[in-house]
This record gives sequence, structure tokens and C-alpha cells, in this order.
Amino acid sequence: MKELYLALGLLVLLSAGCASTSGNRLGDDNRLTDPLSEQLIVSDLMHVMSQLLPPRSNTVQFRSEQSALATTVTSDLRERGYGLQKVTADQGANYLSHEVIALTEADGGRQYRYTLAIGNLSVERHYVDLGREIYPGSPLVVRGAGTTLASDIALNTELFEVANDDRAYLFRIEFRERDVPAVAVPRITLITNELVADIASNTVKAPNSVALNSANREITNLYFTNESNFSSATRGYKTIRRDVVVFDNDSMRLGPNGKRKVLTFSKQFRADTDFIQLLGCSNGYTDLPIGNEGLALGRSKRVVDEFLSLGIDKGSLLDEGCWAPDNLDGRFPRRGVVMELKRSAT
Amino acid sequence: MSLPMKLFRCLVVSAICLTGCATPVPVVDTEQNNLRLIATDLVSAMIQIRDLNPTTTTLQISSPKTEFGKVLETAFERAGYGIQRVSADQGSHYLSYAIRAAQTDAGVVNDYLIRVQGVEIRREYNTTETGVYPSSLMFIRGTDADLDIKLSDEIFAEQGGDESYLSGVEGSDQASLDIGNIREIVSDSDTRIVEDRRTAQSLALARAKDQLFEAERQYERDDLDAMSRYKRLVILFNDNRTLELGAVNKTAIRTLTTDYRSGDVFEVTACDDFDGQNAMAERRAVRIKEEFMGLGVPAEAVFRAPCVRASFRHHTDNSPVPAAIVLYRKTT
Repeated sequence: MKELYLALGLLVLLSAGCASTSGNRLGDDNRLTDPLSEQLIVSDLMHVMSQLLPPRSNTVQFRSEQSALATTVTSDLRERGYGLQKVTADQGANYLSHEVIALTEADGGRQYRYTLAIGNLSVERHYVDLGREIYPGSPLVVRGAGTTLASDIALNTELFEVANDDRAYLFRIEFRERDVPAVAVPRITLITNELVADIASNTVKAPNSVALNSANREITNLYFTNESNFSSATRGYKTIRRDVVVFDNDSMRLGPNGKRKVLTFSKQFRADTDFIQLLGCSNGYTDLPIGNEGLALGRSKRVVDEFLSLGIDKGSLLDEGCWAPDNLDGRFPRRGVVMELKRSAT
Repeated sequence: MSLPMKLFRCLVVSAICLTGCATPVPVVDTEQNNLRLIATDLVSAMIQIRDLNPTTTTLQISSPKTEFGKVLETAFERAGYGIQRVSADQGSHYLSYAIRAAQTDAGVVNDYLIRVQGVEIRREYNTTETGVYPSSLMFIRGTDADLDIKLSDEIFAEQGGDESYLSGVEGSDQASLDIGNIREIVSDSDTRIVEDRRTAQSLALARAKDQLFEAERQYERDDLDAMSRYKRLVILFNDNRTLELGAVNKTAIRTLTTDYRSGDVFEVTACDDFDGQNAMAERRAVRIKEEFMGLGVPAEAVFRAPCVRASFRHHTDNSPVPAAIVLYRKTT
């Protein structure tokens, strides 16, 4: 009998794990407000959005992995007659995004800022959670629409009751410029005509690969061409000395032998007639995360630094690179810097 | 009986009782499975019609009243089409569909068709005990894009059985039927794949979309020698695996698009990988192309440049990945 009670007891305890919960408590389904309030908020925001972006002629893209709020928004969009397109990333000109931020007021009350964005347009508003009801806590802000439509857009006045004249200021729409996201601004470069012209003049015709040398000049990887990036600068110059500084595998350390070689080489340099042309190479497998490119250009920069420390002017140093994960034709050293002393023939 | 033994018995009893609240094993609905395969087959073909590119096409669909309608709607949604629910047959891309059964001298023939904007895709299928199999070529009317279409009808052979069927497309102009493109697929125990390992619908549809963008290359304008660089934009993907552009990149592309004029070409260089080919880089290029298309730029005005061997990333390198976009304009 004891065993039976024990079994029943265990059964009750274990089965508790598979019972389902019900109810719409605050916070269920990752919601900050209860579903009814959220529906009201979405209706409020979408009422304005649908005047900015006509439903019948627009399709909205949304992510398939949805939050409870996104589900409410997408069903509202569907009911209004928008086309809906499920996407895997953030594809589309009318990509739907949303944000809810919980704000705690000084008196301990709860307030939320809801933002719905479709493409370039966004609508946002603060809402105060009064427990049994939700109430706007700010005017509705429209971004990205300009102000030309301002007189044609109206709030849905049936959703919330204007309790008294003191709160009438909340029931209006403000049109503002769209916030440019501060995050990741350095990630983009919108290049102007002038800059394009500059790049075009510095770029060798049809480059297969380019990088920046120690002087931040765009250079072509010599692995793909036999023509030096500085061939025009050194036209009419003769090569009077050629040396190779060999580096250790995956290393940019010059070492005493390399330093000695650079020093000996520099003794022949004449500032008024000479250029020193450097070709940093890394051809073969590398374990370094900077890859062959970083290694090749890093090595030539290391030699440039050594020449600079010996008092040679930066303008007399022309460095470029040659890099590839293999060394197919053996034209260049696998892990060295070729130094050539170029002297004006005149 | 010792205490551990009693406890063991209790646990066994409890476990048996608990099986009642375990999630029920879903019952495989054969008819729905068959319809899903048919929908995958038809939608895969439709995806590859240029004028019905899922990226830029929103279908108008009435609330489905049949199982076939429901399955089709899911397939279109998974394929990435925009779906707009309409009450009647509104819209320029209203989707109509039908299953037609005909009593013929060869027995009952079931013919499934979908029709959008004058394009009709139709195929006959035969249902057996082991599953459903095509019993005709795919008929496509109303477009001349049919020759580019690669069917994904190997999915039927994954059911096994002892069937064979012809795979191929019969286009608008019957005279152009290319016999060389028709092949026989034999479905038997060698081709059978256990149910939960068969090609998922989303995968089959994704392959069809890849095929569309691969075929799209032939339409892309690459006569850039006669043009000059007008503007250049470099965007960064957060890492090597993501297709997410992010708000800033999207804004930058939108801004660049405002400069677009008819006749301009955007050159997208998304691949600078050392081996000259990179599946993720290709997807990034497609992602950027889709973004332009979403903003109203014609597909042929976005040229995906071949890989340039500009950098040599270590395979573990997951740092941000650049993609360069250059707007070319005809030299006046």
C-alpha cells in the first residue's frame, strides 16, 4: 500500500511538469504589456502607418522567427490588406522591425516606448500602463515621411478617450527626421564623385586585387601582374643593386641578419638620384589571421621602417606586395622582401 | 523486497502512467504529403520564371478552401513570395489553381495547375500506394523562360516504389520541345530515402531560387567598359556567415539607389576570397541584388562581378566582410 502511495505521489510530482499554464499574465510570451493592450497599441500605430504606406499597393517583409508583438503586427497588417513576405534576413524595401523599451517613471509607474518601422518609415509613441488600461504618454512621432503629408495624416481618436484638456497635447502627431543609426556608421563609406575620381586615377586598369601600402596608397598585388605599381615613377631608372631579405615562416621580425642587410644596402643610396623599391612577399600557406596580404605588406612595411630609422626619406621608398596562398610559378620569394636600388640614368 | 527495488518499481509505474501526457506522435497524412510534393514541384518551376521572381512578386490569394490551396499557400510563402490575402480575384498577380480529374482511356488522370498573370504551370500526377509521381512533362504556358527551368522532381523518387517518370519542361511553343532535356527518372528501392531524411520543401525551393539567380547572370549587363564610375559604396556584413545587412547598410543602399537612372549599372563585388569562389560570398551578392530589386532597380541592372582575389582570409576568420558596389553610368 505504501508503494502505491509512493507511486501516486511520484506520478503527481512528475506529471506537474507536463501540465500547461494558462492566463495572460504580464510578461507571458515575452510581452511587456498584456495582449489586449498591445493590440490597442498596434492598432494606434498602424492606423497612422497605413496612411503613410497604403496597404493594397505595398508588401511588407517580416522575419519568420516572430515575437508575440510581431505576430500581433503581422495579423494587423494582413487584415489591413498588406502583402506579407516572409524573409530569412532583413531583405526588402519594406522590412518590418519593431522595438519596445520599458521606461520606469520617477513615481514607479510603468511606461513603454513602442516603435514600429517599415522600411524607411517609423512610428513611435510612449504608452503608460495604468494597470487596467493603457494610455498614450506622448504624441505619436512619425519619422522618415517628411512633412508634406502632415495635414493628411490623422490619429484614430476612437481608441483612447481624452480624459481632460490637460492631456489633449498627447493627441497629436509630430513629424521628425529619421534617426540615422549611430551604431556601425564607420562600416559604410558613401563615396563622393571626387573620391571616385581619386580612386580611379590611383587604380591600375582592371586590378584583380588591391591593398594599401605603407604610404596608404592603393597598390595591385603583383602576383597577378608583371608590371610594378611604380613602373611609371621608375621609368628611366636603372636597377643598380638587388637584395632579398628573408623572413622566418609567418614572421615579420627582421632580425640581426636582415637589419645588417638593410644597413649595407642603404649605404649605396643617394638621396638626389635614387629610389628604393621594395616588394614584400608572402606566397604559401599561412596560419596567421591577417593572411598572406597582411604578412606581405607587413614585411615590406617593416623594411620601410628600418630604412626610415636609417634616415632615408619616406618619399624615396616605394613599397608594394605580392601575396597568394601558393607559389605556383616561383617568380617571387615565398617569404621575403626584394629590395631594388633604382638610380636615375640621367 | 528491498527499498531500492520498491523505488525502482514505483518509478516504472510512474513512467508508464506518464506516457499519457507525452506529445502525441504526429500522424503522417499521406494525402497532404502528396499535395506538398506536387506543390513543391509546381512552385519550384514558377520560382524560375524571371517575371515571377519571388523577391519582387506579391501574389494575391483568396482564403484557401481546399487542402491543395492551403498547401500551395505554404509553399509560396516558403519560397519567399509576398502573399496578399484578397476577398475576390483582385490584383495583377492573382493566383488561381485547380485540380482536374479526367476519365480517359488510360484511366483517371489528375492534372494540377497554377496560374498567375497569364502564366500557367500544369502537370499530371499519378497516385499509387507508395506515393505520388509525375505522369507527364511540366507544361508551362505564357512565358518564354521555360528553357531555363530546372525541375526538382527527384523529390518524387525519394519515395521509392516501383515507378518511372519523365522529367522535363514542355514550353509554350511545342515545336521548341528539346528532347535532349527530357530524362527518365526511375523510382525504386535504390532511390528511396527514409521519410524524415527526404529533401525538405524549403530546401527544394531554395535550390530553385539559387537556380533562378544563376540563370539570371546571362541577363546582367556587364558592358562596363563603355561606362564610367559614378559612385562607389562599400558595405560591411557583420561576419562571414550572415546575410543581414543591418539598418545602416540598408540606408546606404537606399541612398545610392536614389542616384539610379535608366541605363545605369550597379556592379556588386561581394567575393574577394582567395580561392576565387565562395558560396557564402555568392549569397551575399544575391542578397545585395535582392535589396536593389526590392527598391525597384531592374534585375539586369545589377551585375555580380566575378570573384577578385584581393584578400586571403584564413578559414577561421569571421571578421566583417566587405562588399563593394560601384554605380556605372554611360559616358556621355
